[in-house]
Amino acid sequence: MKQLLLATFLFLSIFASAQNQRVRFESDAQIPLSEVFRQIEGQTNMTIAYNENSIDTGRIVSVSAGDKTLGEVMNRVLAGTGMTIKIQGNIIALVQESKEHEYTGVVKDAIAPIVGAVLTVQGSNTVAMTDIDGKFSVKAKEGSILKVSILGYNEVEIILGSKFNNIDITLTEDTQLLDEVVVVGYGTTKKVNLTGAVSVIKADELEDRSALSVSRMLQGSVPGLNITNRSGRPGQAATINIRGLNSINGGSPLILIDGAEGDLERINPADIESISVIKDASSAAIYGARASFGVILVTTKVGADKDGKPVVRYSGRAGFTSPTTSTDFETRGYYSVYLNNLFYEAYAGVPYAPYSDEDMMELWARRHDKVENPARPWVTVTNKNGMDVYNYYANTDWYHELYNDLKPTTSHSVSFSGGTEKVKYMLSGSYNMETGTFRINPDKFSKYNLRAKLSFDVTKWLNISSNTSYYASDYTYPGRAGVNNSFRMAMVHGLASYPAVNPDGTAVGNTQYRSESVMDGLMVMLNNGHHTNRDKANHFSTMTEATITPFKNLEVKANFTYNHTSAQSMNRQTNGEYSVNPGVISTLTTGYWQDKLTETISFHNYKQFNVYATYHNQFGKGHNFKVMAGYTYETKHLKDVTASGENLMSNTLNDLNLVGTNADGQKVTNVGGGQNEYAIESVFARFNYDYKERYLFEFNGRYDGTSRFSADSRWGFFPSASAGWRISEEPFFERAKAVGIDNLKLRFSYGRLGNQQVGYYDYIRGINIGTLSYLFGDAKPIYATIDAPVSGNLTWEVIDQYNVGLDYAMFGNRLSFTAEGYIRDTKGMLTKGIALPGVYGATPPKMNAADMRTKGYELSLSWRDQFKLAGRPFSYSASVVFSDYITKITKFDNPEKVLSNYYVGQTYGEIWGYETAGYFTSDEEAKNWHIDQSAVSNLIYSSAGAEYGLRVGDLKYVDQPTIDTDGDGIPDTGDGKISIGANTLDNHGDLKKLGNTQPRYQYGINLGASWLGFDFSIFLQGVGHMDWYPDPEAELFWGPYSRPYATFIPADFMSKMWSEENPNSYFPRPRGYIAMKKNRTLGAVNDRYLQNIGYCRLKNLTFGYTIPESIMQKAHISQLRVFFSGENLAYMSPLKRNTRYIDPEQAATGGNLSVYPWQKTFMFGIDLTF
Amino acid sequence: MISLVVAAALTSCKDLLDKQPQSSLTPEEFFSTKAGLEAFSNNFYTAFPSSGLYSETSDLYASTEMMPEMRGGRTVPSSGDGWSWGGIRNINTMLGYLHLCDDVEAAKYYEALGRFFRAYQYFIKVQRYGDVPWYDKEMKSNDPDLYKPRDTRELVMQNMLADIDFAIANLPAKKEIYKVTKWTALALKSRFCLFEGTFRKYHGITKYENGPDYYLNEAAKASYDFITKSGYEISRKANDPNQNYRNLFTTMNAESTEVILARDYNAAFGLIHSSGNTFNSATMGRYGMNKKVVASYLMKDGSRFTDKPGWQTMGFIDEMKDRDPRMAQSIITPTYVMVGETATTAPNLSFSTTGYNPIKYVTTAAQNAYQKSDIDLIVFRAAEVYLNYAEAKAELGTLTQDDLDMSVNRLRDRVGMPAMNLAAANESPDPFLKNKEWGGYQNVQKGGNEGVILEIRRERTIELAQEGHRYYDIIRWKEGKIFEQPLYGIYIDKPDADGCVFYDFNSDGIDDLCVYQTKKPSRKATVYYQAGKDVVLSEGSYGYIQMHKGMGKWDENRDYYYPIPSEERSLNKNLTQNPGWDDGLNF
Repeated sequence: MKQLLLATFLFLSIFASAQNQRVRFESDAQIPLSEVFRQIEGQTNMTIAYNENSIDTGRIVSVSAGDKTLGEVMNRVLAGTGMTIKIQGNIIALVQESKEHEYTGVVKDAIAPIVGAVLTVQGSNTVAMTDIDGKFSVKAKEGSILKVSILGYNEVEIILGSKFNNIDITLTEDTQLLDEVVVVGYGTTKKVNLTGAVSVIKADELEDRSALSVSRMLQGSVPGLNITNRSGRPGQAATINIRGLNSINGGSPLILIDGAEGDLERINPADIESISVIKDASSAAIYGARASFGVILVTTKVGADKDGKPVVRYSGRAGFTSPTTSTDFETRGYYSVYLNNLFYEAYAGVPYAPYSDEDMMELWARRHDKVENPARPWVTVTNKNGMDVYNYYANTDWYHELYNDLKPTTSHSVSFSGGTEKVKYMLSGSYNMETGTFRINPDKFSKYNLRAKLSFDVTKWLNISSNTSYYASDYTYPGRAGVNNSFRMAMVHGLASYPAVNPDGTAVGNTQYRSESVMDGLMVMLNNGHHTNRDKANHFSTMTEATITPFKNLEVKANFTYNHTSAQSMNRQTNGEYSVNPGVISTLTTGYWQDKLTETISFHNYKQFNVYATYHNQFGKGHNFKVMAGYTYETKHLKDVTASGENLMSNTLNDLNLVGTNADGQKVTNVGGGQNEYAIESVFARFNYDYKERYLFEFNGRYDGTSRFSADSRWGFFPSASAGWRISEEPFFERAKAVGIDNLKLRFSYGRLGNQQVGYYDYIRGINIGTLSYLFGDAKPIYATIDAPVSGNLTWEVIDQYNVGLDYAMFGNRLSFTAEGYIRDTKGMLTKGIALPGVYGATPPKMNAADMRTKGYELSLSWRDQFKLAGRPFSYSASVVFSDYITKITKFDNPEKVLSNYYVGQTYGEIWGYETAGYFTSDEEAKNWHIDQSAVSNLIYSSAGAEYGLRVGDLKYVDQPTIDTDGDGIPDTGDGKISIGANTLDNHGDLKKLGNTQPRYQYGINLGASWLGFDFSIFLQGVGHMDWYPDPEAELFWGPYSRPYATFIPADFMSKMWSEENPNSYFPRPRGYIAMKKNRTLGAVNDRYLQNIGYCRLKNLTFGYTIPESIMQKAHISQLRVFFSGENLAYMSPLKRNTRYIDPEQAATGGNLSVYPWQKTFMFGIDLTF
Repeated sequence: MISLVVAAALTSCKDLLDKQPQSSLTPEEFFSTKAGLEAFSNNFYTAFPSSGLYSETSDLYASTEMMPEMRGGRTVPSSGDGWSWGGIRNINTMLGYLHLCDDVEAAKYYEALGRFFRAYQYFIKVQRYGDVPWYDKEMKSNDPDLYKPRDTRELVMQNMLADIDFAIANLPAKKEIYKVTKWTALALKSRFCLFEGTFRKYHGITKYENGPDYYLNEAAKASYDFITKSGYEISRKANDPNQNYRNLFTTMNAESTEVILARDYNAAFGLIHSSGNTFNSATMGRYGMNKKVVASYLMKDGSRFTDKPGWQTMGFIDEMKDRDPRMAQSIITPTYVMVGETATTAPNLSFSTTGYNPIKYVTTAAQNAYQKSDIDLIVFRAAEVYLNYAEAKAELGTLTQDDLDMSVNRLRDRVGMPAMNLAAANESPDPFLKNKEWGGYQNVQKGGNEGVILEIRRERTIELAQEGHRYYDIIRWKEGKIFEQPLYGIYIDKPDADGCVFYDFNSDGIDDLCVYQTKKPSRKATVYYQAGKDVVLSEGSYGYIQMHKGMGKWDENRDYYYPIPSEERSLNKNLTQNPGWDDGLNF
């Protein structure tokens, strides 16, 4: 919103366009100045005016052949004459070059002087600020352009002339915030006129981030938008929900990119103009049954909207990723063997790895050897039972044998945009490459994005535009199909005493100690390098749109979108070889060692047709209305093809043409297919009315039909209404405005949405064919199963949502505050309708039978300002977003309130478990313990040998009072045994409600500052509280308490393990497997090991420097910025007290945590615009 | 305008929104074809046991973990745990759709097959819970019968008999080792009728129209039909009494002369199990035969080992001499040579809790790793039907020497053991088999046939050891108290002056085991155990290896039935709990 003030004191104005006119000389020449003037006057319609006394026109100057700008030529020929040009209209005046003057004056707005306004002289480094009276003083040459800016006001440029003092500059208030336009469903609206809950993220908020996907960038930046990462794998899609759990059946928000279904992982972040996160039902209702989980609208950038030169932007980053958690594990062979044997023997009575006492002494002798000492080799050979065999005495750092800590990653992005009055264009491309964590044959993820947008004004009333994008990704990784399988394999049977390879280079698989392969054979796999996998995805999307404006106020848009997505995966496995006895190779040939290639291809074709019209007008005085109505149809067809073949002719080439024959001379191949289809058809309409932008009303309705329900129940109507009151527009608010309150708005909305995110054909009882893992003397036969019967009247889940909102801004919009509160009722959730007795024999049919209610709120507060630091403006900003919600089950058929299922009144995510009371302090106490702990110490009672039964250092469970002996109605005595009672809310035995798995108090804090071209920002993101009980098989947490053959034992594990010397340890008496099942001492959920995995994460830290314009202009670069950006750099969490090896977000994924480790990112980048 | 658009949309929607599945059939199409019925019924076969066939634990075998049933460690589950009805439902689903099949012959075959499996599934339920509700149609979610009380075991058994008789009459008589035939049905009938007859007899259940003898008669009849008509024989493939028996469990594809039904395993198709690994690994449970069973094997000449003086403290090498050849074909003895090897393999105490390493289903060394075995597993074999026959007749009191000769004595003959003599057996019932301290039978029928019943039980125990029968044998004989007896391994002598004893079990010059008291000796041995720490001995510093310090616990009034899951009872108030199980529900 620049304004060019033409002040009366101007002597001449400079028009850049005149100066940029082209003039041409035919050849290099030495000619008199007057001849140059003549030729310029001849080639342009300009007249050159000058005072003949001040310049010698006979002076010989040199010109060079070719096309140049007028300004360039004139500046060159006038060099050294002390003259320069000023252009006005078609006159080029030669004037004396100006001298620097001191200009002084006052900056003010309509009411008062402005303090702290920044004045910069274009083309120089001169900067000044206004003082407390709004006065300024700045040195500049006559004719220079002076820029005046301050937050909350429109920027102004003036040309400094011959008036040096008492220059009055009046700034107008920036109404940008008020005029800001927000993308909503099928249209846009002014932000101030919004009546629903919509949060907007602008391009500049994403620009500095070094996260490689949009979803990761959004984490923590929008209140109520919850993003969780499923693993640290390059290219891993994040899980997104809006305002928490929307349905017990799960589901994810509708993501529309320029109006068509899309994927946040597959869009180039640099293409994004804005993202609207639609949170309440009234705003989402225009999308009806697809929008029950909220809507995220992504709008991509368009070409310049006025004539101008093309803009080219380049942005490049390079850096590293590294794990967020500690990788310091026990690497001493001695302790790895000792600990696993200690735990194993407590369970089985025999050691896990039968290292003899002599062997243990060998390991002990080497315990300090970080690398192999030639005097004490890590592998020796002895003859046992007539055969040479490898003895292993290594100190292997398995983590770093398997994985790299630092992995390079780069990204490049280029865009090219511009346009003329009638044609606009935007072309962009980007490339990202992330190297993964595997050390041998590292996994690699790369992705490519291309986008082309064109828009033509064909006639005054018709615009045709096209928006085409292409995405491709490619992930290659070693090991088993499904990269997390390798992380799972790595967890077990990898003693540090085993070397990574045998001295002759053969792989270490089974050992003389164990018949199980080291890490289930992972090193055999990685070392031979033939287990390879590749996942490729391609996404092509094109939309063609016609916009017709038959008359003012009416706009009709029709568009057609076609998306084609394909995903290919290739999984190759080969035989494995390892050696136990020197010179003897053993071969693995079954299971994941079978020589086999599997290729899977899936195609998704999506078509969407939209047509909608918008009419807006004003009647009377201040009555504004807008009507929009439209029709849409979309359909998607999904098709899968799988083929596999065995016994390939090559270990390195992976193609089904290479399938050979097995020992019986047979060619073994398998094929599979599958396809699904759905369609949605809808009509929708919206009506907006406002009076003087003071009272706002909106009504939405959508009538939706889907193929996913039977013809009788496939149509649904989803209405919504909302209202807003802009109190700040009331006449009585004038006085508040005078003290700086700029905006105050109250909003209320109600809407109803449907959820059609159910199976494609849930209403039809289907027959499924599979291959049976049971033989009848031949190849595997097929078998069939039948779906359980379905409820005939299966239909939409319905979501009713109420939202109240408050927007508030003051001090020239420098302080702004938004609060939202909502109640969301999810009704008729599809679930096993009623709990049926087990004799039914199948999962009870799904019915629309469960309800739940979520209550939540969101706050966002931001402040931005600037002040003078060391004479230069220092601008800074701070913003905080905060959200929370609680979900309760309000209807579920579980009359007994059995705790293993949902029940009415249950807070979603409850964790029930036992209370513990420390350890037994003596064997005596344990032996005579009066409480029967067999329900939770099952294994201890069945352990073999000397460790049978409870002992000192074992965990005591609390027998809760469940029996009322004195008749006062309050239970006062325990029943002498640990039990779950009837496992119901009324009779839950010794169970207590310990916590909740749902995240509470989610927040993001953003701090930024810039000064002298330097910019700095910090983004913190976190969860206030969240409970997690480690999965029985989470070896990263339990170590050998789960499986007593753990590969990764934390370096400080011994200090956390109970022993006579360490009776106050975190973990109890060492016993293998006691965490591995739910009825065992640690596997049983209890308060002692319940973790709070709330966290605060330094999500992003950016430090950048923009090279001053004055330097860059000479290189024809309009902006150049270099920066460092780090993602996920550090975190704080109560979890860290108990383990440094598990990222709290990793813990939140649940399960055994055998997933790709979480990564932080360090990136150096450059942004260039010219 | 909106209403116009709505109207337009509604008229067009019919075609636009009708998307039928394109890769899945409807039930009506599917069940009308023979191929469909075959595919659907293939899944029924997965009800047959798999690894459980070789890895049973009971009083016969100790393992690292003592089964909860034996140590009083069962609790009332909240759901599942055997109370699963998917298998029966699937069968009923198919039976309900059979009328759609126009191929009459096929329909009859699949009806017979379905009813075979229904009887099989219900047998598992009756064994576990006693009375269970009977369902013979696919249940609808609103069927009031979902909430009916348990039917009596009498009603269930009668329905099972109707099912199995239909199966016997309509399944093909052609032998097929991997598929259910008429003969499989007869074998199943023999099995469940013997179970029901003896269960009712020993648990004193006489309140129903049909008493124990009715079922024992049915068992005897079915067995007799099988023995006389099926053509199955006792396999003597190796033609060597010292190999004939073991050969059954080391032949990769089940021996079809004797095996009625086997579960097919084949590594080429990824169908594998871990039998080899289970008995050659320190982490797979360390199964070991109980000393009691070892002692119960007769001498080669038919005399009793337990009549020999000093048998109790006899060392491993001595006690292995001149025994029933089936012993050396069931556990590692000093002469044991693994398939494909030439040298002997000694018992390994780190692989076996007792020192008596099981070897059934152990084949070549290559198959001894985890998930490396693909030998077929036997589900039904003729020897069991023979034993069922003898036992049913003995319990009925109608056993003759001829009966023994056509059944049990054929098994004995295979391994070169002298025949069992009815009169001799009844003349002097074996006191060892009744010895309470040695886990002998306390409730066996007293009177005329006591001796032969004991002998038949001995025969059954050793012939069918490790084939998944023992737990329910104990249940039907009402002998649960046996589980309270300690599980013993080999006898370890008193330590020498240095506090050690060494054992070279297979006399190959390498000491296989050293048990020491305090200080580990320098002399080499394969496995060292410190008494009291690594191994518990019955007398402290010497005695029987005792795997479990804790003894079993058996509640006579509770433990013969499993508890009904508490949530099931919450959902169906008509469902009664089995006696003695406290699920916290007051009804």
